[in-house]
Amino acid sequence: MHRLDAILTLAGASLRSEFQYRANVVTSIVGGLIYQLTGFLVVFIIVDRFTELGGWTLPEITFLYGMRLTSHGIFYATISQMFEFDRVLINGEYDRFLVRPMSPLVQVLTRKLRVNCFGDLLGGLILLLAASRGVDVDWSLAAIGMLLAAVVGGALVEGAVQIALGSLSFRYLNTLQIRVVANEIFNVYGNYPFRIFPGLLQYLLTFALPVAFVAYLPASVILDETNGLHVSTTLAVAAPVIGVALFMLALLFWRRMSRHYQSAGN
Amino acid sequence: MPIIDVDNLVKEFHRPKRFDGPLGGLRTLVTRQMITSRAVDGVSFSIDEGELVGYLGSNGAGKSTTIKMLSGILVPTSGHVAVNGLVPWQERERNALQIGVVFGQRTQLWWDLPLADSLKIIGKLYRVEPDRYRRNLDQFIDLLGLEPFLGTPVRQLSLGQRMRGDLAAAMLYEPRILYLDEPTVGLDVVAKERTRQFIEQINRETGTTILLTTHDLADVERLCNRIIFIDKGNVLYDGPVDRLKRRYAPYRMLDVALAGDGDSAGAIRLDLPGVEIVEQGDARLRIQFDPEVIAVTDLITAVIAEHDVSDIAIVEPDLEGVVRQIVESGNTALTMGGDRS
Amino acid sequence: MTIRANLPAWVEIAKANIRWQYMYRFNVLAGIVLTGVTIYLLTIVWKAAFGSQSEVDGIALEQMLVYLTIANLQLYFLRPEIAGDIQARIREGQIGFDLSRPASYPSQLFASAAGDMIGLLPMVVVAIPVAFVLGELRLPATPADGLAYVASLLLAWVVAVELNMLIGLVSFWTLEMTGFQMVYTLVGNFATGALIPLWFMPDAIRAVVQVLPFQAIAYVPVSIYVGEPATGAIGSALALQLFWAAALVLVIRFVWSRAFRHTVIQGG
Repeated sequence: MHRLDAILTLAGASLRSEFQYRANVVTSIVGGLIYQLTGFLVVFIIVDRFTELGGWTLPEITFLYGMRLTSHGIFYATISQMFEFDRVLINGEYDRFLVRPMSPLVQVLTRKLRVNCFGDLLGGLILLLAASRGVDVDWSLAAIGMLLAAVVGGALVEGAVQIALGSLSFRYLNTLQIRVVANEIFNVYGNYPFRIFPGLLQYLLTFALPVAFVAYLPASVILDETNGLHVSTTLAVAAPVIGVALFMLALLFWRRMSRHYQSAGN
Repeated sequence: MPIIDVDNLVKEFHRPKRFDGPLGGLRTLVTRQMITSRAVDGVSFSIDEGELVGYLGSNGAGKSTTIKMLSGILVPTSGHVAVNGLVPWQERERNALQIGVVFGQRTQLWWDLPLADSLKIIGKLYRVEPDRYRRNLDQFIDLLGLEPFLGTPVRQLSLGQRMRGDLAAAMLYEPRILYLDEPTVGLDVVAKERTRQFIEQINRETGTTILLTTHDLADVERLCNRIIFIDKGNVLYDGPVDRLKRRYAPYRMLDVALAGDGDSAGAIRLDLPGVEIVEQGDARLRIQFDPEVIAVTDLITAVIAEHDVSDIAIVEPDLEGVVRQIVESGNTALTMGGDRS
Repeated sequence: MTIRANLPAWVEIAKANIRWQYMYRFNVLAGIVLTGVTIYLLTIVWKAAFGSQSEVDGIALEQMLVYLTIANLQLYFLRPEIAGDIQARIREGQIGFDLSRPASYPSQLFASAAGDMIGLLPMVVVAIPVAFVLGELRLPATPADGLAYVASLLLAWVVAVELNMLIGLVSFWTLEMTGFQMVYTLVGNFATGALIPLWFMPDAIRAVVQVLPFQAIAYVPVSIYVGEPATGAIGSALALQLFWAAALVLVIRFVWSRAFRHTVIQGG
C-alpha cells in the first residue's frame, strides 16, 4: 500500500510540475494530437485512394492505427522518461534515486511527464471510436475486454523494449539513439497489416522486435482477420499476456544491468 | 558500538577502453578491453553515534566514492561496511530510511514546485506519520527560517535558500545519520554561516551522526572535532583537528602593526631562537615562531621592547595550509596518524 | 560592402557547425537509419497499394518509388536545426553574444545552417547505399532533368532554412513551443510531399498544400527528378521555388525586425 501511495505521490508531483506551464500544456496536447492525426492522414489518403491495403478496409486500418496510438499514448504517459535515462545517469540524478527508500526505476519513470502523451491518447481514442462503428465487429463484452487488455498489453510491449534497451545505458551510457530508432520502428511499422510486408520482415517484427504484439496481432483477432496470419491465432490471442511477460523480463534485465552502475564521478 | 563501521573498503572502476578515429564509437561499444582504476584502496574507520566528522581530501581522492558506498549507491569491490548494522548496498531501501544525504551541487527538491510541496513529497516517500511530519516541519521552518519562501517554486530560490530547503528535506524524517557532500559550496558568507549553524545545532540537539565532506576548511574548523583525511584512496590521517595542526604545522604567526610612519620598518631585526620574520612592509610585520622553543609572552615582550607597537595578534595556522602541506609532501608515512582508541 | 566584410565571420560559423556534426556522429548515423526505416516502409506500402497495377493516374510504380526514395533521402539532408539552436541560445541567455556580432543574426543563422549541411554531406556515402538497398534509386531520365534537379535542390535547401528560421524566431516571443515544433515537423513533412506526392493528395488537401511554401522543399525538386515537374514544366517549377525563396526573405526581415525589438534576454 505504501508503495502505491509513493508512486502516486511522485506521479502527482510530475503532473503538477508540468501544469506550472499552462500554455505549454495546451500547445503540447494540441500539438501532439495534430502530430498524430497528420501521421494518420498519410495512411488515410493511401487507403482511401486505393480502397484497401493488404485486404484491410479503411475502417479496419483506422481501428488498427487507433489501437496502436492508444497503446502508445499509455506507454508514453508512463514510460517515456526512459528517453531521458541517459541524462539521468550522466547528471547524477540516479544517485539521488538510490538514496531514497523506493525503486529507482519508479523514480526515473515519474521524474517528469510529457504532456503531449495526452495528445497521443486523445488521437488514439478518437480513431478507435471513429472506426469502431465502421468495422464489422460484434461489440460483445469479450470483444471489449480483449480490446482493453490488448491496448494495455501493447503499452507494456513498448515499455518492455524501451526499458530493456535503456538498461544498456548502465554499461554504455549513451544508448538513446538505439531507443529512438526502436521507437520509430514501432511507430511506423506498427500501423499496417503485416500482410503487406515481406515474409522475413513479418517474422523479424514479431520475434526480433515485438512490434506485431502491440496492435496488429490483437487487432487481427478482434477484427476476425486471422486467416493467413504469419503466426498461430493462439499467439495472437495471447498478445496481452505476452506484453505482461515481456515487461517482467525487461524488469529482470533492468535489475541485472543496474549492477553495472558506476555513478558518474563529478 | 560504532554507528558507522568501515573495514578495508576497496572500490575499483572498470570502464570500457575508448577508441578514437573512424568507427571509434562502435569499437568502444563492442570492446571487451577494460581500464581499471582504484578509487578507494583499503579505507577503514569507524564513527560513533553523535560524532561530527569531516571527511577531507583533494578532488579524486576517493571521498565521494566512499560516501556513495556508505549510502548504498555503489557496491564496493571488497571490504565491509555496516551503517547502524545494515550493509547499505544489500539493504538499500532500509538503509535509505535511516540516512539523510545532501549533495551541495544538486538539489533533491522538485524544481517547478513550491518548496512546501517538495517537503510534503519527501515526508510521504519516507513514511513520516502526519503529526510527526507536522512537528518536524514546524521545527525546521523555525530553525532554518523557511517561512518566507515556503510557497516559492524551487527554481526561483537563491542558492542559500535552496540549501536550507535541502537540509530540511534531508532531516524531515529524522535520520540517525546525515551525509553532507559539500553543503556550503557556492554559498555567500551569510548563507554559509547559517548552514553551519544548522549543522552544529542538529548535531548537538538531536545527536545525529554527521559525516561532512567539504573543500571549505573553515567548515571543518568551525564544526568538526575529528577529521579523516584521505588521499589516493588511502586514509592519511584520522584524529582531532588540533592534533593534526600541532603535528604538521608546529608554527604560529604573530602579526604586528607598528605605530608611527613605516620608515622604521626597514631596520627591524629579531635575533631570537625559533623566530623568523616572514613578511615585512608598510608598518606591518609577520613573525613566525615555534611555541615549543619560545613562549609567546617572551616574544611579545621582546618585540614591544624595541618597537612602537599599535596592535598585535596571534594567528593560528589554518587547516588549509596544513592540508596543502600534507598533500604536497605526499607523506604516506603519516598514514594512520590517528591512534584513536 | 557588407557581404565582403561579413564573409570571414560566416565562414567561421559554418566551420564550427561542421565540427558539431562530427561530434554528434551517433545522431547523424541514427538519422540515416531512421531515414532508411521510412523509405523501406513507404516502398512496401506503396507497392501494396498499387497491387497489380503498374501505373496509376499516369504515374508508374517505379517512378513513385524513386520519388519517395529521393524525397526522403533529400529530406534527411535538408533538415536544418536552427530553430532548436535559437531556442537553446535564448534559454541559456547566450543570444546576447549573437546579437552583438557585426553580422546580422539571420545571416549568421544561414551560415550555421550551411555548416550543418556541409558537415552532413559526407554521409551521402552511407545514405545513398542505404536508400539503394531499401528503396528504389535510378538516374534521372535526361541529363537536363539532372541539372535542373541540382538547381532545384539548392533552392529547396534555401526554402527549408528559411522556414526553419521563421519557426525559430518565434522563440523570441515564447519559449514554450514543444507542441508548436512537433506540429511544424510533421505538418511540414507532410506538406513537403515527401510522404505523399501532391498528385495523389485528395483535391481539398492539395489545394491547401499548393499555396504553402513547403512543397518547394521536396515535391518540386523530386518531381523534376522523376520527370513529372510540378507545374508541368521545369522552368515554371524553378520559378515557383524562386518565388518562395524570395518571398520568405521578406517575411524573415519583417519578423526579425519585430523580434529584435522584442528581445528579452532570459537569465543573466
